[in-house]
Amino acid sequence: MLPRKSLAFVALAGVVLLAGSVRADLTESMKRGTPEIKSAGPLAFGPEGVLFVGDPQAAMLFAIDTGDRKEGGKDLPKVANVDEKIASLLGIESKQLQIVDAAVNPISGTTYLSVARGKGPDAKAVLLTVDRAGKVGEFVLKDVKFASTELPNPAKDKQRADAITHIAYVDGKVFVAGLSNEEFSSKLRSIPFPFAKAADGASVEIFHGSHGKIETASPVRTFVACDINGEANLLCAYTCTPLVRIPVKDLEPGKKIKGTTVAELGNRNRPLDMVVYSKGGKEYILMANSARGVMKIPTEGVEKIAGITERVNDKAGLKYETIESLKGVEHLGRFDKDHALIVKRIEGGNLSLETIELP
Amino acid sequence: MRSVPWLCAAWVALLLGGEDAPSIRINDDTAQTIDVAGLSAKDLEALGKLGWKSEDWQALFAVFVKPAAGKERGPALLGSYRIEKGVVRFEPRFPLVRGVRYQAVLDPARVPGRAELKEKPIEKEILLAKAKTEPTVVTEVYPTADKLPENQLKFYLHFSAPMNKGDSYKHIKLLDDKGKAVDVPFLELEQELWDGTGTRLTLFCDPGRIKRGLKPREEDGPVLEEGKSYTLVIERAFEDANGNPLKEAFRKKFKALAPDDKQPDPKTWKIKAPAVGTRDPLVVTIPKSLDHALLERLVWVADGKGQKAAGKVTVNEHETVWQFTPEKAWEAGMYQLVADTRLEDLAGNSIAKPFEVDVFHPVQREVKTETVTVPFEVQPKGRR
Repeated sequence: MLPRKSLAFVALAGVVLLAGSVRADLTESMKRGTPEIKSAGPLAFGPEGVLFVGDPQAAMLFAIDTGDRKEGGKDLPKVANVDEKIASLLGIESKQLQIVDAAVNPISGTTYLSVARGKGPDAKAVLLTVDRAGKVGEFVLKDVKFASTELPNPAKDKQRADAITHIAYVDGKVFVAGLSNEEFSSKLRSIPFPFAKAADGASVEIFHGSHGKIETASPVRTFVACDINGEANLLCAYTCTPLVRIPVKDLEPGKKIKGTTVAELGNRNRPLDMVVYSKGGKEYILMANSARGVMKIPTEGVEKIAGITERVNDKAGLKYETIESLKGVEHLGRFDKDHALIVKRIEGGNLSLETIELP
Repeated sequence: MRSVPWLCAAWVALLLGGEDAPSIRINDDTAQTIDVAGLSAKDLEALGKLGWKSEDWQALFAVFVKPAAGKERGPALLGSYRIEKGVVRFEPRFPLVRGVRYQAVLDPARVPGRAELKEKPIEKEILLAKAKTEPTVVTEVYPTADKLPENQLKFYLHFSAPMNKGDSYKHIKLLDDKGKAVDVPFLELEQELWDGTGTRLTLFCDPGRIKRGLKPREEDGPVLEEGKSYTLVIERAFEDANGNPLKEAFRKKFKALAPDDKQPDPKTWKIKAPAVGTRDPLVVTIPKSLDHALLERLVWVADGKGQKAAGKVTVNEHETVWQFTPEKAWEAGMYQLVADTRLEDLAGNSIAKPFEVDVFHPVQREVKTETVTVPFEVQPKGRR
């Protein structure tokens, strides 16, 4: 029997070791190498600087240890003509560049950009960083720790492909929304991370129940995780425009998932990105919408909306206000608790990367 | 004769010596590397000792995308620098793009020991010639029929060569019978629904306007209206992956009929069994047009043991005839025509379920199995 003092020490060492190994778990499954990302897809950050990258052409999901775990200071990035600058670095004209997605590492405040160099089927996927000072560089995917997994049920066909519209990390799972380029189906996949050995993950079909009467398949174009009364929910924007709420616990494989409609966003709305934030003790969604600009939607009472089942009354559902000053926003993401990151197209035609105060 | 070795030595010294002015040299017609030649061995040695990073090298020698008139030059191309084979060699991170003008800029005064020479910076333009290619054309638009249901769900646009993504919706228009463009008729996704080869684009008609009871349909009505005529236009300005426009615009004229809410049912298909011992196609005639891509992929033939038969599928007659030509001659016996229940018609009704399921009036079928099979027999010889 060890003397008490050493026992305590052993116990403490044990706790420290355990804490260390809980943190190491996230990157433990990763191996050092060069991830082959065939196409630029959406991005999402997990904890500890782990960056998730979707690769639609290869039907793969990558988890990359960016190693970016140092707090970054207080500067807020602002890069005018960011598309010209990136194109210049990559040796192309700006019209040959596509900024596919942007995600901010909450630890450092460094923005990561998923970019396609070129617009044809052979366009190279490039990962770039923009630090708080606005310096743009490449995050070289060589000799990095990473893990990857096949997205469940990839078609082995060159013609059949799933577009990945959005990904997000929520409580140990990566959610991947997509739609097929052939059958009209909508899949929301939840993939546990660290990735299991075999391609794992539940795939659920999402439906919309229009006024509780007519049910159709409903692809999701973007979604955001939202805590409603302590319960994890996904707020999803459908391609046919309703905004719906789905409790995460309902997302079990094989279940028929019908979101509860909380707002009818109406015509020509193309929700691009959504951010959830708190201000003055209340919760809001900030939504970048290609047609309607940026909308601020208070989520108060969202759990009470039983689902819009009566027609036409515009008063049903969540109210929203349009932030007039924010036009041309093409990408929106959370920067920190008070700011959002936006990539917007200015009147002259070029893109600007900057932060805004959450309204 | 004693002077010859001396002459040779002098000539060699001249070649290697720093008497040559520094110059920019492009290696081969892909410019995989771009060199600074003409620096002396002493210069190169001095440079090698500096332990320069990319940013430092760029002050000496860098390649830029030539800016448009009146615009400022952007940052230099990403790439790596090394000293080898008597040159400073820059390797761009990504290959130079044909048809794009680049500017290589060399400032010899940055070389340690050369500043006193007061050499002016040297610029050289690099332009890799674009390969001459045949102009790309639209080879087909499915569905090929000229009468479509009002609730037509999607179009497949096939091109003869890979296309550029990102601006597709700008170059596709749906015109009404007066030539006026229908406002945003298609689902516009940032991701655009291309196949892996970049030669096929899937266009979905705005589901918010097809589906009944949704706000977009209330506000703007359906995309197509029964009885009216339309033209789908694919504009010439649509760029292929070489950055060239199409050879010409493509127009598809069609008329909208009543909406279709009937699910496809393989039991209604007419199967013409082939003759034994031949490789004649199995011909299946379907009462209405179905989705072209899904017909190619989701229908197949299984033999008596349930094994998928190897062969070629063709879809004809405005997507109402499905044919299968086997690799091996047909043997006598029972076969199965198998259809995956995700197979859709033009309005998105699948074998499994209709596009819109009316939960209060479940007259529609919901087929729960993954496939539906229809048996057919290849008769043995002598029997007809």
